[in-house]
Amino acid sequence: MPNLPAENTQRARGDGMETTHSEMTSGQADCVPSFVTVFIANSGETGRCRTDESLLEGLRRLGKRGVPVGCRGGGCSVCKVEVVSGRYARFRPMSREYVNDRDLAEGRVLACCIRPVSALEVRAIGRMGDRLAATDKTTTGATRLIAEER
Amino acid sequence: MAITGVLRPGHAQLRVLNLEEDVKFYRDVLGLVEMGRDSYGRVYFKGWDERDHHSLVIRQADRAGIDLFAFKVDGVATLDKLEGDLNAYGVETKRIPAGEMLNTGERVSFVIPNGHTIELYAEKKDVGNGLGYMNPEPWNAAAEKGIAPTRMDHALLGGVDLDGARDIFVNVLGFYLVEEVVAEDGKTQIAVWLSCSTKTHDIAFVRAPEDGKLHHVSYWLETWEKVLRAADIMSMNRVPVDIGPTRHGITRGATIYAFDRSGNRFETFSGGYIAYPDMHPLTWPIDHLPEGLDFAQRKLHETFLTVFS
Ligand code: FES
Ligand SMILES: [Fe+2]
Repeated sequence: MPNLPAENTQRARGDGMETTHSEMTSGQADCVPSFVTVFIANSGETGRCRTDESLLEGLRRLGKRGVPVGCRGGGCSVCKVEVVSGRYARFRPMSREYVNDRDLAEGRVLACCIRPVSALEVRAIGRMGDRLAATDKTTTGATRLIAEER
Repeated sequence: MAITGVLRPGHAQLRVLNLEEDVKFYRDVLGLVEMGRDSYGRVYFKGWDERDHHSLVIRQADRAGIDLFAFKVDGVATLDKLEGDLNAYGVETKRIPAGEMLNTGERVSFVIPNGHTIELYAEKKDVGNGLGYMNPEPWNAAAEKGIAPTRMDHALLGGVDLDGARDIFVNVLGFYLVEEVVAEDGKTQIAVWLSCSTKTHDIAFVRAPEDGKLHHVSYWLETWEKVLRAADIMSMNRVPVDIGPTRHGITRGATIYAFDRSGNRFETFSGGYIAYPDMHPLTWPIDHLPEGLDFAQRKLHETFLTVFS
């Protein structure tokens, strides 16, 4: 588990969430995970995600493909989402190459680096993500993607 | 032909988002040997069987990715000659003084057209693998700690101008083409595997939408059994796996692609075949990329062309 102290809870300042759901307690036998509903606007998928692991991991566990899965370490940006509504906590660093201060302030974050706190509505905005999701997932699609970028 | 000129990959320097977390990852999970820290805060590692001081350097940064990839050459005269050859080819170089990197001699640094910084150097301290140079035993405890690759083996680097990068390695540095993936037009290379030895690749390039992007740094394991053991260790440590364990059709390596704690992809692999410069290159049309990457499942992993750090 990440050993970082939790960062600010976005849109939920001062609600004490981090003390009730920190990694510190996750190993205890009496720790029952809590779940919230996550709606992915671009794919129309809904999932019940744990609040004690990353949003991306929760969606991946359920097989929801609306948010693409990449490095799961905050380094590649394919999982970038815009949080349309709801509260979340940032719990690990995100590559600043892909997330600037304005992104952070406006809820554009990497799904592998945040945990849901309340019910969320998100939209995948990763550079590759929404385009790949929108096109066929064939090698031709992948080549076209490269051709377009050139 | 003896191996002369550029000998092998020497070191990679990576950026990580949380230094101590990735020190733990590279030391305890991947099982590299921690070799020290320098005054810039960089942390040095090597594979247990490597004899030179280090092959991986990591540093704290606010973005992931690769700073540079370096090759060892067979002597100071070769370093000077290759620098001259690069300059004559129109590649600007600069010298980084000896000691800037721990236990490492002077380095020649240059940027290739796909945005990557490449270095050449002739000298790095021989610290040995701990087994001695007389009557050595075949392995020691370090060979079983974590995944424990024997060595850093190669890197796959992404960027727009694959052709320009390839040309410098082939025309100036003496590498040869071993395998390639080509686009529908039958000509445009999407990826190339280049060797300066009898390995199937010492460096590879993939065409990527952004310059200077890391696809992966690869580490060598001796057997497929050890690749499976690596998969167990990754899962036990919740390491995010990208592809595998499977066999690449391309280069025939048995492989796992996975990510460090900062989203930098790495590979643990074994096998492949012995390549020689006179061998005809192998070509994979892009529609055969699925089995080129994952021969067992013949399934397209779109992350191969889309996920970089
Ligand atoms: S999956 Fe790579 S940044 Fe989230
Ligand atoms: Fe590789």
